Amino acid sequence: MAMLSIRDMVKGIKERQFTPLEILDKYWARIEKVEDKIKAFISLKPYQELKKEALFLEKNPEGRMTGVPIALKDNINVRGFMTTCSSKVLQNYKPPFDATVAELLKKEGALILGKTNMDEFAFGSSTENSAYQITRNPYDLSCVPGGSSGGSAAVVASGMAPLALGSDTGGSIRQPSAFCGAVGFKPTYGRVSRYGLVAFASSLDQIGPLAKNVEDIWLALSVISGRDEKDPTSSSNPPINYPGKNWQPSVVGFCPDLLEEGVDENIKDSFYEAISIYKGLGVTVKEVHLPHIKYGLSIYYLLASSEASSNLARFDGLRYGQRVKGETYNEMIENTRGIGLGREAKRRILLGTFALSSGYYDAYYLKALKARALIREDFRQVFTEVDLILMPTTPSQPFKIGAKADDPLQMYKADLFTIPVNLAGLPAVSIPLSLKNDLPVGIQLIGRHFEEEQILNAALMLEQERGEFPPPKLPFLCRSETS
Amino acid sequence: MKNLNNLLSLASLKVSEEEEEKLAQEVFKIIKYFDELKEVEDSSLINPSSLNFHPQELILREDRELPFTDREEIMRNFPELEGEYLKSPPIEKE
Repeated sequence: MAMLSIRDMVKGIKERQFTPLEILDKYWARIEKVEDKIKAFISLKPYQELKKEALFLEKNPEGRMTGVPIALKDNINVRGFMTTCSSKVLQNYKPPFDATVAELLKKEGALILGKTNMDEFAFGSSTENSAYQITRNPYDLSCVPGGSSGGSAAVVASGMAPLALGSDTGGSIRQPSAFCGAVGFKPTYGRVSRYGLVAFASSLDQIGPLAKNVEDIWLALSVISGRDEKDPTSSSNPPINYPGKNWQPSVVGFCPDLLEEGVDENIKDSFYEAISIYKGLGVTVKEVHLPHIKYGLSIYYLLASSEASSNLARFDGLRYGQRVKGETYNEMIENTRGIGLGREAKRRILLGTFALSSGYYDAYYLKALKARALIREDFRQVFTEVDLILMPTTPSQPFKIGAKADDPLQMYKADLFTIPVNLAGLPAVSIPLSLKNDLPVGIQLIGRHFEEEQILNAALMLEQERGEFPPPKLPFLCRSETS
Repeated sequence: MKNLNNLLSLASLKVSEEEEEKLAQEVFKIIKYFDELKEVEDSSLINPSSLNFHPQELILREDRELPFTDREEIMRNFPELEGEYLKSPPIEKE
């Protein structure tokens, strides 16, 4: 039952083949077995409360997601849960309102199990920057799950929930999905309301789903997308359709020059496997060039840090979260932030403060804004020739816990292929294609603004050719199950 | 720029001397990396702000008054209270 697709799960509940409580119990048993080792959740709702909700849903099975257990990244507000963003500065903060995505999911009958671990304020690519715990990759417990939505990816990969939400500012949904063998979707900027998402970089942030397969992602997108008057950047386009139309790409582009440096052989091999799959299906594959992408890292880390330094100014210990005492108002703020914010958060705030400070603004912040415009223009040009762009999701496979923790610049490079997509506001998916050395490799498909359905179609093609993706072996689980 | 004093004060961050030293090393190393952007040819014709957001216009809604009933929940988050008031340290030393 735990391996059912979301569609079959909801159908089964509506047709009374099984109850929401039976589904909940299945997943709850899984959580009790594996969470201790994976550490993906920051907070979980008590079983008795979930049971009550499941019994209610049994009598009211109208929603499109009736009885579907789901986990939300801990930067998305859900009433009754804490929102910590995995930061000490938000310890014990209980938001008095639901994020729009949480409201939409509840309305359709989804069962919110808990909140997932992340890099503090989404600053990172390994979930090691959490102030609370280290999350482990279900395929190899000595490796990171990626980040910053590492908890959400690990929950889905280890079967603790069929669906999770994350946020993606520079790859934070797609990169951990690739590391954990999950499908992760970053919608077009403006597609999904960010009301109730704790802001990191407002011109880049987007909420999206992580799941085991493309079909589940599609359904989730249809529920959470659409205009929300509480988020003025949300688009007036209608929500994504599900079931959607059959809209297969005829020309797919790829950039061979991006693979020349710093990309692992395993990643290249998988990438060329994906290309031959599309060729085999009769899709034209074409070489394209995105000349400014190589500056993506610098552009992104300048702009994202600048926006973060401004967005994080609100965490001052005055009205909520942790307060560290001081003799004066300013001292209290400096002490609270000095103690409450972690190392990476401080680095980003300082980088952003630098880029925006008088004397450096033109050379750094403004320069990065202009270079961003060039990246956007690169994509616009390429999308006049191709329907989709195929790219690796990450330059390397999951790395060991601690391997990059002391070298921020090396860590930043894990986002090389995902960052340009956010800079241009485009939609993209990461889909697991193969296992190399027993670790997953993800492939990324990028589409035009608001053409999510074409990406989903192309991802389905890849998924069908690939066949079922091997789940993690979870050695500790096998032992306890046989004993 | 040689040290972080000014940035730390602009960002309202108080850190130990040891932490400051490490942060300075890391931050200036990253800023040095950013200097690669100097080779990007841009022109004054590029309008950065027009490309910052999505092509569509921002849609603003009318301001209107709505009831807010969750006062208690907001107050429960206050780190310090005095009676019904949010307590803050004084602006200047007494």
